[in-house]
Amino acid sequence: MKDPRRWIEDPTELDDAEHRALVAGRNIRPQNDTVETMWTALAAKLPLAGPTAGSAGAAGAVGTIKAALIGMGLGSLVIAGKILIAATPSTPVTASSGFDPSASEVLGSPHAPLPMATEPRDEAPPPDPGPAATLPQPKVSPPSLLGGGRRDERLPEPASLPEKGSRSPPAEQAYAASPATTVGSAVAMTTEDARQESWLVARAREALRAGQASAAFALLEQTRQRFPQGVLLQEREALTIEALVQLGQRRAALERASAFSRDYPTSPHRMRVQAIVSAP
Amino acid sequence: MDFRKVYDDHVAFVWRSLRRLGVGESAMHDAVQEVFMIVYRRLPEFVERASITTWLFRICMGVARDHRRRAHVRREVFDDFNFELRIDPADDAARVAERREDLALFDAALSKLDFDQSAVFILFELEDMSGEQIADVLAVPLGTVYSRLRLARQAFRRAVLQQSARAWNRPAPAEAT
Repeated sequence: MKDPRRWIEDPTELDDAEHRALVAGRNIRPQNDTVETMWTALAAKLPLAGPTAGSAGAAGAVGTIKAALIGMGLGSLVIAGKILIAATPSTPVTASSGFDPSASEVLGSPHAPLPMATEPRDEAPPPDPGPAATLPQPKVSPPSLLGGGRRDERLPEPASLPEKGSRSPPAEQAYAASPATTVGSAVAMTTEDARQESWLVARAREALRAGQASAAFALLEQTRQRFPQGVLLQEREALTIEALVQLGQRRAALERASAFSRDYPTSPHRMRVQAIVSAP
Repeated sequence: MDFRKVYDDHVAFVWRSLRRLGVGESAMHDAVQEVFMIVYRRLPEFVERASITTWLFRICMGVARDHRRRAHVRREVFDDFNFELRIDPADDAARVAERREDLALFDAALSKLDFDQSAVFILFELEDMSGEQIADVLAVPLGTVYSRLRLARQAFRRAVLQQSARAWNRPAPAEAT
């Protein structure tokens, strides 16, 4: 038996209303941010370190930390202790002190919950902000949702930040840099590293939302230099593209967006990146 | 198989399938999560030689059926439109409004279809699957697929006609003074 012709291939079969309704139905898709939001919620619910989360490769390991971070960020919860993530299946996952239950137990159990504390801690801030310069804006909220920190902490601002219409050296370097394409052959990242990376990216996001594109850009560059293969690499790159657009560096943003789409064709950020650079 | 990759590659398919299968806008996030929770649990059992789209659509059907049952087949057609319209930046407000109307028309029409018929309609007319593939997804004979498609098309046409007539007869909104 042969299939009938599809309606969409033979518009003469349809009247105008039918055709318009059909086209509308074919074009349904989730909003740009919805895919990301749903993954965030999903990752918070699932112990994404079991055999189904990945083939025990680097991507799976990175996804595990990422899921944990997302869970922390959303629920204002804390992952304690250090997790040493290895990229290859043969490399054992180890946990150090301060982790209860142990990271290895949790990571090894596909049905165990992520280790989370219910109370935010008041302890040392996650990142070492680097240069001593401070950034008066945007306001920096306490990084308690990422594991604690002082409430009066301020962001660093590198000496040279790109301004709208200008192309300062750091920005030029950044424009030339394409997003990292792969996770290295071995990723050794502690939870502390991940917390610091997450903290920096969160601050950059806040700066961006507050209209501080230069500060956001600088923070993202700092993140890139410190964690070139970080677990939030895609988020970082998407925010960088957004910052470049806000800074009026559309060409650079387009180049990076193009590289992003090429390097991460299935990324949940891809649609958002495209929307950012497509916006008039 | 990598769970995250499955999510990245297929979440849009899952989303639109659930939406078209009648899951209300307000329940979409929960429904998508339900699907991927099932995927997460069953992924180790999934045999890769089978089509993952086929597998996912079956899961979507189960989840959507549950949601519809719970909602007493109440579709939240006109509540809001959180799903994205492919809007050309050049489109003016009138064109955007028109597209929303088209989507509402589609939504209302599809809601009139029998669940099994709508599954065939979705897969054939919207996802461009072949009759054979649909037969595989639904585990029914090919003849049944064609039969359901014919009935679904008739029902869709009727529903569009009814909706259009309703819109035609609707009194025009009073002009702002």
